[in-house]
Amino acid sequence: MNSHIGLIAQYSMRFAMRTGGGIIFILVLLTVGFSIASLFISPVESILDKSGIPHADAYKLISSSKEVKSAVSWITGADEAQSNYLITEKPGLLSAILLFLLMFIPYTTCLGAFNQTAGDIGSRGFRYLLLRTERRNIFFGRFVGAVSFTVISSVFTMAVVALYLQFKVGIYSGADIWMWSLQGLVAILALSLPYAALCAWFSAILDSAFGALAICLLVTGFTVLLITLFQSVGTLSLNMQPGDLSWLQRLTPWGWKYELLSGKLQIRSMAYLAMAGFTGLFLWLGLRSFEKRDL
Amino acid sequence: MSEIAVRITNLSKKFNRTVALDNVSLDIPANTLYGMLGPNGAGKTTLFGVAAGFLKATSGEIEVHGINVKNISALRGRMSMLPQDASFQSGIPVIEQLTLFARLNGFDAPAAAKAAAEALDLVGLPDVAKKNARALSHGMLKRVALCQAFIGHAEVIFLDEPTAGLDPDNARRIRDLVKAYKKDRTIIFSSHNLQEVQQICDHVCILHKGRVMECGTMDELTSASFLLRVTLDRPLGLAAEGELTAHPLVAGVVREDDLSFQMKLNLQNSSQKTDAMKMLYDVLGRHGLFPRSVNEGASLEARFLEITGGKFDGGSSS
Repeated sequence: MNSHIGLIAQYSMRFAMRTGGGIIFILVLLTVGFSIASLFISPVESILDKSGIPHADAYKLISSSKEVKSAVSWITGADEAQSNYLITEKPGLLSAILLFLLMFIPYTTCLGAFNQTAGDIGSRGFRYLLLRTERRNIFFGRFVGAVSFTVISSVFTMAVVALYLQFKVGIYSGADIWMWSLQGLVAILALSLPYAALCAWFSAILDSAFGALAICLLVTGFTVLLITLFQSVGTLSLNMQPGDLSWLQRLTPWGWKYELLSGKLQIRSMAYLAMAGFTGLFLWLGLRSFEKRDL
Repeated sequence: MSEIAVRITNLSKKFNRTVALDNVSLDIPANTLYGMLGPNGAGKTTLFGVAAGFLKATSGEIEVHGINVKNISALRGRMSMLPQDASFQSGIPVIEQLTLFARLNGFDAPAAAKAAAEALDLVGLPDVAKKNARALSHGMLKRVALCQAFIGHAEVIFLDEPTAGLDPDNARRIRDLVKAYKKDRTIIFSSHNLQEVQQICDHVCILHKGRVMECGTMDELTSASFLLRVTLDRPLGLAAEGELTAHPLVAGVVREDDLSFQMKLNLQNSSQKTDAMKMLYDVLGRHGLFPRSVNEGASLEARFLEITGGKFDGGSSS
């Protein structure tokens, strides 16, 4: 019944656009994306303009500075080789934008994917569908519909940023920008999938759209906070080394996000596999809940 | 032996500690209009919910034409339902939602749009196609909900209280539609309105507290218990009462108040009703009593109330 999944996805997207929910989500994602891009591009443009030397030369000076590389290492926990990869081997400005986008993607994904099924479970809006198709088709159709919005928004955001960098900032070659944008886009989508799947799971358990949103955001944010807390307690109170509890981060998709942009194929592949694994796990849990419960 | 359209076997459904259906077993013959009766909480909607797949049975199963209802794919297009409390997507034109349902039934896009439009025509609502569900009245929504059950050519249709909350005109339209469609289909019709069920159904099942209390053809249930409610100009004397009670067509006489009484009849077939009425008038006439009104207490209602322990009150159940 793949055609049913496609049909349900298509109609759920259409209905979401009609009722405004889909449009709002796209606008939110675009706002977040462009705000982050602007956060980096505007100061760099300003510095480049004031430098009085060709932009490309000025940019090389900035990107080769220790401070910039230290900042990247601090944010991502990456070693020097990875910092070099992100700042000098790849378009560094785009790397900075991508790193920050990856931080926000879990939350923006929740905003778009929280109500895959919860609202309709509560309002008994699935009953006409249940007479005509399997529950799994409804579950996966809604998931695909939710992910599709993320794809559309992300593609548009990255395209606009890449175009701006290529034609307005003018410090990278077009090929470099578009290749790295494409890789970055794939990383963003890979990170959004497990969070969309997490939302699918909670949405299947709950009867309330608002409840699903609250739980999705809480779990997404609280897990990160909790792990950070454990790490702090371990480092400060238990005399552990900062890296001793880093494995805790690996228990969530959050802990793998920067590896999605790694220069090493093996590390990158592990990160993508982890995303696939988390996605599969959450979808399985969600489908199990959806198939067993009364609707 | 007639074909069985719906077979319910040892079906139970519990909601936490509440037993909504208690080991229900039932065979619904094909090509019948089958009435499902019961007071509030009897389990009718729960049974329909399990058949439709909204609810998971605690135990037991339901088969439609030999196919377990859990196998939605195999039953696609062969079974449909008007659920009691499903909702349409608000803010979306009705025709688009009906088109989606038709496409899930197996129609391609153009045929689905056509089937959806025809379904709206069927219930007399072609003008609401482009309206949102939110903009429709309760009666219109009910008719749109009904029309989705008639998209395609389902062999078995469950209608859960299709006339509930409707004005008499809309209720009559729906009954007429159901009667028109009962040929070559099995329609299972649940209702609180006993007169309505008696009027259009040829089989009936009475549920009470999650159990099947009685089921059979309408004739079997109604001829077993036929009731007359009589109001006189003067009290019924003992002699007249004795004469009525002694008659072979009379099962019993129960006084309601000084001037009214119920006369329960024992009829082998509905044609004896005329004989019973004639006898009543003869006896009353001989004793100088004049009937102010003689109401045929809905005999199905009497049987229903007898089974469920309700109180007869002017033709309505409580």
